[in-house]
Amino acid sequence: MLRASISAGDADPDRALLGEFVDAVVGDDEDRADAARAALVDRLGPDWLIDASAVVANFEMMTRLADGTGARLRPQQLEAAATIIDDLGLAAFASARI
Amino acid sequence: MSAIAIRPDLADAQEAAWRHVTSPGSSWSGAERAAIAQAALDALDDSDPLPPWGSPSAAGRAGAAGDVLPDVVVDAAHRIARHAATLTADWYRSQLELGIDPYAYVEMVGVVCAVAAVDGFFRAAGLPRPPLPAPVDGAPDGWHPEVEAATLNWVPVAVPADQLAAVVQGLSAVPAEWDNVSRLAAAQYIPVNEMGELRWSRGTLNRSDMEFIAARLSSARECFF
Repeated sequence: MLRASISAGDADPDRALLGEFVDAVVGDDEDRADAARAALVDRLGPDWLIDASAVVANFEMMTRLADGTGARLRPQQLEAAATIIDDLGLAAFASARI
Repeated sequence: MSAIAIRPDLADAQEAAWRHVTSPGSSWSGAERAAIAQAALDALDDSDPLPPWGSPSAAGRAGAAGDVLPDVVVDAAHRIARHAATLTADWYRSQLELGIDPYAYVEMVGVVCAVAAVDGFFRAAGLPRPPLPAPVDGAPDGWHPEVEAATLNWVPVAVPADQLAAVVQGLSAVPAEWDNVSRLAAAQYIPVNEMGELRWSRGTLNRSDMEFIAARLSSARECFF
């Protein structure tokens, strides 16, 4: 199924709302998390909260899978991603198996 | 806040995952798997977490899982659940040297993955997490596919190695764990066989929204992969 949704620009207020939601719910500030959930629901509706929480859940799962099994990218994937790895400083992560 | 209803497909996948983690597996009984799941939940719930190098058993914080499992297993489940990004190949090898069988290790990772998913959903949504079901009686079946060493993972994987992405083959030594993760992924995100469809949407979210959340979460967890 295809639906229109949040645009890709970081300056988009809805995208900022979604980003704040993720940052808040993975942290340990319950007040911030409550506010982020409320803002998401108030602006976009409760289905957004469920769908966004489900994607958060998926990557809570996949990060444990990747790091628990020592998953590596293939050399050609690392080469293709070299610029973004460098720009975002991802090689500094302890989990960088390069 | 408006009333919150969980999609039926998502609720079904979570309920199946919860039953799966407390049922007998290949290397662990239902009670042992439930204890691994509890150790992971304890790690995720801890408001005063140990550092990555800290050991719940040494700190006297093994909890109820410590009544069922060896300390090394409680400590490993805790570390994978709470500090996965700090794991190294040397740490993995040390777990084998401490007596964890490679198949048992992979199964433990699968249990922790399912726990991280179900906990992660309810934590993110601000909804009460359902309790783990009671353990299902029965011995582990001991079955495994033929495996070999991989270059894309620390853990052994089903033959032929390295034909699939590392996260797809990572649990393949214990296929029931990959099946459980796949069911969850299909309800939470995208079915594995549709990953290449960039126009995929999930309810309110289009693929761009999903990848934005994925990247933000993975960055917060410092997961390079």
